[in-house]
Amino acid sequence: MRSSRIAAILLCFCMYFAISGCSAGAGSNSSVDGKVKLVFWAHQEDAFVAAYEKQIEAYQNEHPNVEIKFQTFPYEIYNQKLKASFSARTPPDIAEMFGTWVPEYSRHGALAELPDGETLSKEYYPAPVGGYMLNGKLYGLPMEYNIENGGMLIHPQMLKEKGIDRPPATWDELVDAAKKLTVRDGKGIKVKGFDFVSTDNITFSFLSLILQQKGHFWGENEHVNFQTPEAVKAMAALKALVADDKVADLTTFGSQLDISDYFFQGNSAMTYRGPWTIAAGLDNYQVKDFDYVPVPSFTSEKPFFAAESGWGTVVAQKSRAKAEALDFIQFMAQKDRLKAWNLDTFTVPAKKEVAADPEFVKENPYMKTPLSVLQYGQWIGPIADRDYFFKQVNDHFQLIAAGKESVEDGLKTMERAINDSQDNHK
Amino acid sequence: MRRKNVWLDTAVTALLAVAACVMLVPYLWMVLSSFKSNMDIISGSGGFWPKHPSLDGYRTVFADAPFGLWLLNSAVTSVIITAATLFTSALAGYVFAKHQFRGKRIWFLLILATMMIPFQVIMIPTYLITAKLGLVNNLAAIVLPNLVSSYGVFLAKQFIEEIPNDLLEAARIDGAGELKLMVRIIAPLIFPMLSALGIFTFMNAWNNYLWPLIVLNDTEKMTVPLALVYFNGTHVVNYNVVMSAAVLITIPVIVVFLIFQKQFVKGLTMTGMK
Amino acid sequence: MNEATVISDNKRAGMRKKPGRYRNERRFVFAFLTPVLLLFGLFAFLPIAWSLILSLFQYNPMSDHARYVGAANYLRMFTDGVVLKSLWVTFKFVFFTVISNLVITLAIATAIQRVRVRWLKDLFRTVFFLPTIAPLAGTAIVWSTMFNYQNGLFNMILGELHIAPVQWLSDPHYALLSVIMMTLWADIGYNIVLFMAGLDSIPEMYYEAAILDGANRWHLFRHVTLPLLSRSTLFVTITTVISYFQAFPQFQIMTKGEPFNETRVLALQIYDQAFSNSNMGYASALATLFLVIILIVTVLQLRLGRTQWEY
Repeated sequence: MRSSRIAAILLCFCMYFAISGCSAGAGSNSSVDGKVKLVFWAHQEDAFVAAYEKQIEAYQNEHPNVEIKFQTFPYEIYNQKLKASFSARTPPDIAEMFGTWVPEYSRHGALAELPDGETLSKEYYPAPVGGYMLNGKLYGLPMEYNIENGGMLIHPQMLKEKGIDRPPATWDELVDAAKKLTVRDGKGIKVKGFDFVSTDNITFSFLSLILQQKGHFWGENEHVNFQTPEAVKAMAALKALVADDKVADLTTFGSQLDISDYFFQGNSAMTYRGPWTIAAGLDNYQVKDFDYVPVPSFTSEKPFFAAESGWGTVVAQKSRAKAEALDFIQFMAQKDRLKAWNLDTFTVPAKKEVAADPEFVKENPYMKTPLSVLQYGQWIGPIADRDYFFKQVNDHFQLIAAGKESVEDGLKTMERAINDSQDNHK
Repeated sequence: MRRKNVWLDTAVTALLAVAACVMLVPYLWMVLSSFKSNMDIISGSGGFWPKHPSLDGYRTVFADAPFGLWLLNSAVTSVIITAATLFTSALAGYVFAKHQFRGKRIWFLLILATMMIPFQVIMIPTYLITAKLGLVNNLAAIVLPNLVSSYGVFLAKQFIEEIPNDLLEAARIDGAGELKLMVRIIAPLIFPMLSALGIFTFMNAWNNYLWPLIVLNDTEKMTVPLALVYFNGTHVVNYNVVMSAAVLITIPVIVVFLIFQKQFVKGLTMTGMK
Repeated sequence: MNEATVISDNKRAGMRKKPGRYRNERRFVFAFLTPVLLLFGLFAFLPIAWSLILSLFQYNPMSDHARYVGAANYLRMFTDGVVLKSLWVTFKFVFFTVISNLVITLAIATAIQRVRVRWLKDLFRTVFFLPTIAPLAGTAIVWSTMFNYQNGLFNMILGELHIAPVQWLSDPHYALLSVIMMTLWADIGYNIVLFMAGLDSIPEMYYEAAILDGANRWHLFRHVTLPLLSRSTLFVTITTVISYFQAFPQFQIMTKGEPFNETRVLALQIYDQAFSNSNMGYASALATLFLVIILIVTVLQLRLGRTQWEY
């Protein structure tokens, strides 16, 4: 009958979509021309994207039978996209992941193990490779040593204008210089003397100030301990920069732009930020009138700091071309390849032999500062929920700096909140 | 007639004119920002007017963004969704209005009940089902859950019920099949309602953000709103680029609206749809 | 034929049909309703049931099994500070936005109705309605740049007025207000058009009668316009409340729930729990709570509306 014929057409229509859907999953790799197709995901950051594209091109030239499809996502939603795709069992073959995220995937068996992981991991610094290890097995290769401490961006010209002829060498000099460099107008601060108010740097500065006093922030049972005199002193010192010395303010926190953007726009004289922001200055802003220098230690101790495992690459267990995918990430981890990648992205080498290569500093003099402090870095520790941890510290720092909460109360509340979260994840 | 008061009328008109101008400010801001040069923005001192007007933003959009593809994705999915929704709503409405079968009341009530369910409530299982069907990161995932609309069925049933049975009977006696009846007799009679439903289904499909955000990954597969947000993520600093993209996306929408304005307003008041 | 017209009731008409055609009709019903009901089943009924079931489990979609936890998810949300806060924020947002929306739209609609020049009236309606057709996601992006601290439009205006700049999206006092402003701009057009239609449908004779009784302008509005508009108002209120409860893109794009969760509405919290934290079970429990709240609020409004009609 006519009506049933139309119903059949309707059904065919549904079937068509179902079938076209199945054939186009993210993990498809067999194709008509016999090439192995790999899907590779990464977050969006101009320098990173360009560096990966170079690696892909080099690999495809050496392996004409492999075709790599490179897809990138804005950072804010990247982790979420990864989770969704792994949950839906349609992950990309290769994914760039932030080291701290990796355990959640490796614990559920979502990632492919690298052969001979134990030996391979010894080639890297412990902090960057920490997140990629689970029960002695290696589930990915770090591309960089994620470091937010130890170095800062400065405008030498601004320092010179205030009669400061060299970067500050002690914490007191730093505060002093920051006060001199701060420019105010009727509306508030126009040029910040020393800016550290970013979602990463508040927390990292707080932790490193504790470590530089030879203190600790981990208590028992994977709980944090922020009640120590060192923690109180560290938080009070950060608060003083905003509340008393007024060399920075909270106006740019939560803004879409990074504090390094404000630095390159000339709204800050000294900005505490990782060396990766140098690339943004050179590429986006086309400026060269800045320098990257060490941040002095808070005490007479060495400039100790805590670090996370940074960006690296992993292979999905579900990938239908696991061998090729693993081969590709190992290809990128070859010394010269990795060196080129680190140079292009202004990242600090995670692999020891790259960091030790004198060519590296020669080609990128900005890296002198970060390389000199690598040895003082330690793994940040078993944080269960990275975003929550940082948000607690950042939120309470803002309340403390705005005078809405005392240092002690703020530390107490954030400690309780973080430890609750640690317990919830057990 | 109501009492006339020239002064009051003038004051009201003037106030409305001011309010209307305020409503237009964001558009003006969008257009002006799109003409700012990279220099204006990087210097961080950009005012309301572009200091060095340029087409930097538009140039980057056309170089970086698969613009035509986004529009095509949105257009294709929205058209399919609209056509299918009109078809299924009218048919199901007809069946519920003019036919008898077992469980009719229950089914209709069930469909009505889903009208009350916010998308956030079913978003998780819908995602899991879509994943099971292997449709994640596929445009079909945008289309498939939206082929039927409970509100559409409800509206169609209400309007078709008002068609006298005699008319249908007469056509049946003339030998028309059910489908012919549907197309020849019923569809023209409920045409105003169908066009209203069509307009709003299309708009909702075109503007949908949450569902594509969850299921689409590839830039080449994205629909316009989602692509714009992605694009924003990469060009936070150079917002002239994003504003240029926003302008380019807004223009066709405004043109379409101005053409169909009458139907829009009529449809809105007839169906109360949003 | 005559008899057929008399017996126009479906059931009886059906009984009189020739068996062949009757079968034809049944086949028609079966053939067309089945795919439609299947689609409803797959993308409406099944998800609702699944969501309810899922809310009783602890489920991370990355792992292969879910753990039954009973009512634990429901109990947890009443001690979860973020959820309680998000409930508060949601109610605050809906309340203030709906009230200001209704006041503004009613005022503008009555004002536009007064304009007698035809083209001017149409122009006003077009201008106010225009923002509603743009994708909300795009609007949110444009407004984010307008709210920018350093070079956004709003701080530029404040600067002209010699007022200190405001962090529109990251100051806890202003963030929600900023989102409310943007939301109002984006969708007052709908309600203006609906109210205009409502005003059109009030017969002129009511006003004439009231004027003869010596009513002044305010009395006209209070005792003629408002009561006769109550049907429109009820409808507009209910749809507006429901749509604001579900508001999502503006929060996800403009503030991400910051600062201090001051703009974390429940819809955003559900999304984040499900897709950022992979807590699908907990998120489903929150979704159930969300549904219950919307149902209660709607029923309350209907009740309230009905008693007002009686008056």
